[in-house]
Parts: sequence; structure tokens; C-alpha cells
Amino acid sequence: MILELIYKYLDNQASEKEVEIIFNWIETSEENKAKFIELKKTWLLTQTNSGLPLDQNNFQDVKNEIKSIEKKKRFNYLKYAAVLIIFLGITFIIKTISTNNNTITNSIVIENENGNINLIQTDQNKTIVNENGEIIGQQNANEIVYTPNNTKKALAYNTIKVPYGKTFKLTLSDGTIVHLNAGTKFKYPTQFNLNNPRQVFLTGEAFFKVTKDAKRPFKVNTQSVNVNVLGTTFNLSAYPDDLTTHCELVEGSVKLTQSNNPKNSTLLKPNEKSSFSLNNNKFTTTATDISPYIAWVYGDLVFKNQTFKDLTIKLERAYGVKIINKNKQLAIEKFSGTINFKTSSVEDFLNLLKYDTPFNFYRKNNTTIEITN
Amino acid sequence: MHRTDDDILLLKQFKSGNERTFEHFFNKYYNHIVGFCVQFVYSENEAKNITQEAFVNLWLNKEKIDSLNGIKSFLYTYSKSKCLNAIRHQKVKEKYKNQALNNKEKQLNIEVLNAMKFDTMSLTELESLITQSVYELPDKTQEIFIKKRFENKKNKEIALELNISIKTVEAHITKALNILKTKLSDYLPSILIAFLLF
Repeated sequence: MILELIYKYLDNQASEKEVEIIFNWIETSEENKAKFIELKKTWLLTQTNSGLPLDQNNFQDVKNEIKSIEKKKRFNYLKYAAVLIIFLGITFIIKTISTNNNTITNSIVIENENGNINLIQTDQNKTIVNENGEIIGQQNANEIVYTPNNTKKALAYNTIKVPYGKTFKLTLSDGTIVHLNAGTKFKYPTQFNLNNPRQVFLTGEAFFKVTKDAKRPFKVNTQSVNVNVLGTTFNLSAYPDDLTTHCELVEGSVKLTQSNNPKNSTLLKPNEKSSFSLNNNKFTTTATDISPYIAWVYGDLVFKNQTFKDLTIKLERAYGVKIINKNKQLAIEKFSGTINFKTSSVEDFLNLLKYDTPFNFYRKNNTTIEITN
Repeated sequence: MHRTDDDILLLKQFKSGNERTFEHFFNKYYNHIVGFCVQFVYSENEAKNITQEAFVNLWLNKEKIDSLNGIKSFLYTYSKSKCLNAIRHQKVKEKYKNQALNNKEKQLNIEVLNAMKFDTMSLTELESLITQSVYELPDKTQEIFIKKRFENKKNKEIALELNISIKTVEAHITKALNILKTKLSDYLPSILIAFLLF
């Protein structure tokens, strides 16, 4: 009976074989696991005695440690008080500056053409107005929808910056939907011009559902590759620290052109992926399962037989953490799987990998995780 | 279990820095905290280290304690986070030859610890609930359970004392644990946890 085994386990009497049976049982369902956790909690909360004999030395140890801490404290106070006063002012200023910087780099911001910066709080709904106070859109939590309204005036461009660890969704004034992945900068007009082609600029990764308009082609510019489209759905990844810029087409058709060499171009059909190598300036197009590349739109990270080293950059982007891996064996280990980065923490994920390849990790601070042997 | 004027006086003395009162609380809770930590770090020495640190910090933070249960709450909350740290930083003893089992155990223990709340409110409410639940157990089960968990007797001793087999003792404790689990989670589904009868 599993209950009796669990009791034996809690009483520290179970053999390794029995522990294995219990853990296997726990793994068969979430319900079993919850039941085990409740049992262990009950066991703990009904325990009143560790069975140790009372030892007066224990209290003496505590008293001694308190004494030495209080002594050290007093000494340190004297030693540092003077220095502290001098530096207090300076530190305060530095602190203020750096916390300001932090909130900006950790938040989604939109910069308009005049250089004004708006912080986007993703827990609020609000109306977006332009410089003249006219309503041009509406923010609903994690997305902004711009009002369909074509202008004949000069275009006003906005730049949205999405930091690591966050994603955002935009609906442009022509109805085009753009999902922005973590660590992405995207420049777009708040209203498209009636007569001109539609043009936007991307650094990072975005998933586009472009509204069809034969008269006004849609063009995405990146550092290395430009994408010309009519109406179509595709993913485009152009992170500055990646060695390739790649595009995956879901439907319609797109034309990819090297930015500074219009003669070098390629046409993409649905379910094809094209990679542009920054080393040799060549496009490589293959028919492939593109779903892993667009899974991030739904919060999934999918990886197929990828080394831990390749995974690291994906994790860093999705979670907004820096991962320092000092485990050489792990770096070349290959993994396959899917996780949802909206519902699981990076720790959850690393703990899963540990079952496969044992390693240790700890959070060095808020933004850094270090992995060791 | 009952609040008396004595209790209020004790707390006052403790907060004002009376060492004898500190020793009183030390003797009262030391074993509980060690026993709690042992269930996660599996080493008596490591458990004692954590417990000592918890008491040192209790003393250094005594001004912030505002009720008798606050002392317990502080000690458990502190130990809980230290146990989590110990697990995460691989300071716990590995019990099994099979490394996968050690990892699974750590993972489970992290989940158990995270599921435990030690704020004063939950402690107070649960104390009475647990006492009541234990005294509602069937007679024989209750007697054996109290000997085991509150008097910390070995299964063999209980069997000898009551002239029954060790298997029967184990069966009663399993039964008690299951009944208590159901009662406690029925009453307070998400916020568990207090420790009984300090």
C-alpha cells in the first residue's frame, strides 16, 4: 500500500527501492504529487519533538555568536561612519540614476519622433493620443491597437523597445498584427500614409500578419535583409547578436532582399524557411516544419536537438536573465523539448534538465544565474 | 495553548532583552526547529547550524516580534528559507546511490517548503484546528499517534507498551496521517501550516 510506504519514507525507514516506488507513484499524476505534499506537510506539522536531548551548549553557542556579531557591528559602525557620510551624497545620486536606468531597460517603452519616452505599464488599459491630443489608439494590457485611419500628412514614426523577458503585440493602423518577441526594437508609423508603400523597421524578432493592400506593398527593413510582402503571415528574426537573419513563411509570399545589395534576393513559399548568413551573405532556403520558429507567439520555447549553448541565448531572451555556464560538459549536451515561458520559471526549466544531465545552478542575483558542475 | 497574562509578560521581557526569557523560548522551540530542518537537509549537524542561526537572528530582530506566535512564525519562516537555500546550493546530504532519486527528492522538498506558510494568522488558526483534529481521531489511533508524534516514541516502544505488533502501530499511524491530511486540507485548502501543541 502506497500510504504505508509514504509513512515509512517520512519516518526515514524506507529502503532505496521503496523510495523509488514512491517517487514513481508521485510522477504518475499531479494528484498523487499533491497528495504526497499534503502528507509531508501533515507529518511536519504534527511533529513536536526531534528526539534530541537538550544540550545547554547549544544555547551557549547562540549567545556567543550574538556577542561576536554585536561586537563586530559596533566596530564597523565606528570605522565606516566617517567614510559613509562623505560618500552618502554621491552614492545617492548614482543610485537614483541607476535605478532610473533599470526601470527603463526592464520595461517596454515607446519613443516618439521628438524623443519623448513613454513607459508602457502592461497592467493597464489606456487611450493613446498623439502630440496634438488626438486619439490614435488604445492600449489593452499587453497590446496596443492603433485606430484605422489613413493620413495624407507626413508620417510620425514611433519606436517601441521590448526588453528581454517580455513580449508585446501591436495592431498597426492598417490592421496589420505584429507580435514582438523579447529583446526587440521596432519602428513603425502611428498612421500609414494613403499613397506611399508601408514601411517598418525591425531589430530582433517579430511575427507579422500583414493586411492585404495591393496598392501599398508592405516592407520590413532589418540591418541585413529587407522583406517585401503584399498580404501574408510570417516570422522574421533579425537579432543583432545572431549569426543569421531568418524568415519563416506561414502563408502568402514574401521576397527577401539583402539590404545593401538589391540584386541578391530570394522568394519564399509557405512552409519554407530562409536563412541569411552574415558570414557569406547567402540565402539558404529549405522546406521545413516552421512551427517551432513561431511557437514563441504563444509563449512556447521549442527546441529540437539543440546544444545547451544554443538554448542559453533563447532562455536569456525569454526570461530576461543572464546565464553564466561554467559546466563544459553541459554546454555541448543536446536537448529536445518544449516549455512555456509564460507559465514556467527559468528555474523550473533548469530543474527539468537536471534530471537528464546532473548540474548545479544558483541565482547569483536578480538578473544572473550561474551554472556549475 | 491559552493566552494568559504570563504570556504577555514573557513577550514584553523578551522584547526588552531579557536573556532568561530568551533561554525559555530557546528550550521550548529548539528541538522543533531542528526536527523540521532535518526533514529537508537530512543531516543533524546542518539542521543544528540552521537552527542556531535562526535563534541568533530572532534575538537580533526581537524588536519586530509582536506576539508569542510571532516568535514561532519568525523561527519557521527563517528556517524554511535557509532549508530552501541549502537545497538549492546542494548542501543537503545525498541519501541514495541513484542520483535521479536525490534530484527528485530535492525537487519535492522545494515544493513542500514553498507550500508552507508560517505567518502568525495561519499559525494561530491552525494550532487549534490540529489539536481538535487529533482529538477527533479514533481512540486507539489517537493514543498511538500521540505517543509517536508528540512523545517521540519509537514504533517498537509503542508496540511493546500496548502489547501489539509493530505492523499494527504502523497501520494506525498511516491511518492517522491520512485522516489528518484530509481534515486539514478540507478546512484550509491553501493556507496550511502550523505546528501543533508547542
